[in-house]
Amino acid sequence: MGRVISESVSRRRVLLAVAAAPLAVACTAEPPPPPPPDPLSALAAQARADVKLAQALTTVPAAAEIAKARETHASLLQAEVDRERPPLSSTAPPAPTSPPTPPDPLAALRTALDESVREASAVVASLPAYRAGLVGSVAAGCASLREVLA
Amino acid sequence: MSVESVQTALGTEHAALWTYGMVSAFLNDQAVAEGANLHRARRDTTERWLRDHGATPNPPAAAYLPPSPVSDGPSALAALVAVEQDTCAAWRGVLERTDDSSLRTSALEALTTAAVRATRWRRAAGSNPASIAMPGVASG
Repeated sequence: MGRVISESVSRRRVLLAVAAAPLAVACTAEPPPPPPPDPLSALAAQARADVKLAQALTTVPAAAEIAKARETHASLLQAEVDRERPPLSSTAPPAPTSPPTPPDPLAALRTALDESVREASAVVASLPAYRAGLVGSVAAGCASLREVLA
Repeated sequence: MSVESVQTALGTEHAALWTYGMVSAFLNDQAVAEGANLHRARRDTTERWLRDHGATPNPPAAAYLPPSPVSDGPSALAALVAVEQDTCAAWRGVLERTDDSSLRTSALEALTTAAVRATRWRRAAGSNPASIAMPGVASG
């Protein structure tokens, strides 16, 4: 019997504590600073933007393989971002807002790929080793794509 | 450990250098000589890195076996593509096993330049797609 009473008391206490906890947190603790953005998130966004750019280039034969490869990069990078920091809800990453079609889309894609090689390469040095391989392959992949567009 | 992965990368550089020498009998291309020079330079810096880290660089093998026999231009191109892709995989392996930023930088450069050469040879061979989405990854 005694055991039952003490259990019910403790349950009540727990309930109280649970109910009060958010209040206490709200009153005393400062909200934790948001974690710095994942550098791979920017690389994934860049890959998605390159896909859009390449898809607009219907007359260039290599554009289709570039769009496909950058799609692969985007999904691999996004998967790693989500693995490390699972998204709170099922919010898909924002679709890149279609920028106005540049006057010379082919030149724009070349520039974008050069930029993608540079950005991915710059990030490699500061990543944990298990991510460095992934981003290194993305950088080398962009250099390979640049080669078929040469 | 990074020394072990660098030894593996050195092994692919030895194999690449040997392959570029072997295919020169079938491909009269300035890019073959250039590729050989770049692999020679990479081999030298890799051996130096190993010595600086107290390791004895593994020597080259007497000969290497390309994935398929080389007897003409197309099979020579295939051997070059294969050896460059092996090189990509080995240097990606180094990237995944070191926190040393200067080693990372040179591994990334080796991975990228090998990917670009592999793409050129695939293009010369008429492969479609010529590009490699994820160089250094088996399925890439």
